[in-house]
Amino acid sequence: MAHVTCCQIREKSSNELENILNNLHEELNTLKIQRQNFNKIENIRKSISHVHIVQNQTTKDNLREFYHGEKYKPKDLRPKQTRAMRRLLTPKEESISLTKTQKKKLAFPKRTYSVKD
Amino acid sequence: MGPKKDTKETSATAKKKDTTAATTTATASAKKPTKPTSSTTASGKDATKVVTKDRKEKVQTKALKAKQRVVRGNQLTRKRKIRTKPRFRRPFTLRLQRQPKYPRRSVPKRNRLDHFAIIKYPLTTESAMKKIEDNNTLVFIVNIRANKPLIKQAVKKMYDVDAEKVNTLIRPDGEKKAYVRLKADHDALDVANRIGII
Repeated sequence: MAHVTCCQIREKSSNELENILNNLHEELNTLKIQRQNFNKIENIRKSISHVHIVQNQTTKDNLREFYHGEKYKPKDLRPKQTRAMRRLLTPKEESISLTKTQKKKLAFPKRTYSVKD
Repeated sequence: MGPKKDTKETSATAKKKDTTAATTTATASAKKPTKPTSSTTASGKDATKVVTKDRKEKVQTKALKAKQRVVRGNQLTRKRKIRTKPRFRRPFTLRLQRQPKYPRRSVPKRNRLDHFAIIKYPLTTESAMKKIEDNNTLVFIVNIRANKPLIKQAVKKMYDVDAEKVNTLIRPDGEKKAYVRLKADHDALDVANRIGII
């Protein structure tokens, strides 16, 4: 095969992908020994990387489904954000207040006035 | 209820109380008003006594405590450990194995140095040809991070040949060259033909 695209191989099973990968590698080997067909070599190298892309994407998607809703997820499946943002209080934690302050807010809300001309 | 009853009997004999004797019989029959058995009547009276639940529990706990003290031994006169050496070494404590609630990485890292990546290509120079014919060795350019046992494994996997030994050197242009001497039952010339070097 000259050129493998991601669309072609997304539906394939992991075994089939492994076979495709092995075939591509063997082709690459023979071409490297011949020291010719540098365009073809490049095509095959890109095809190999396409196969790897599809493999990794499908496994990652499956794992995200598997851990969906779990309390403890692997760290690479958690939202990346930034280090500081991960350490901030959650919106729920921020909104917690004492009953005392809640009562005060209820009793003395912020009033708005307007001036009559 | 069996052992408890025994200790109660012993405590009864220790304390020498009629009431305890009465309650031992009371525990056998649930909460009925009791008559002391003919063997334990100290006083000549044939009194029926109603034993309350509280009284029963109190006596039970008292008996249980007595039993525990007998088993445990008196803590005030505990033996001290004899230390014969001036040095105190940390005693062995419980070391639990890890039981992670989640794997830190969802997928383990892929091995980037697989046998495809180890052997880059075989050399086809004149001196390499000489090696094939005379010394039964194949010459490969190899990933610089590969070591001799890895190269041996990779050659075995890729070309189905056993290597007797592997010698490596790093070329001045930064590539690693591996001289792979094949075992006597393999012929380097045949293998080279099969691979496509010749």
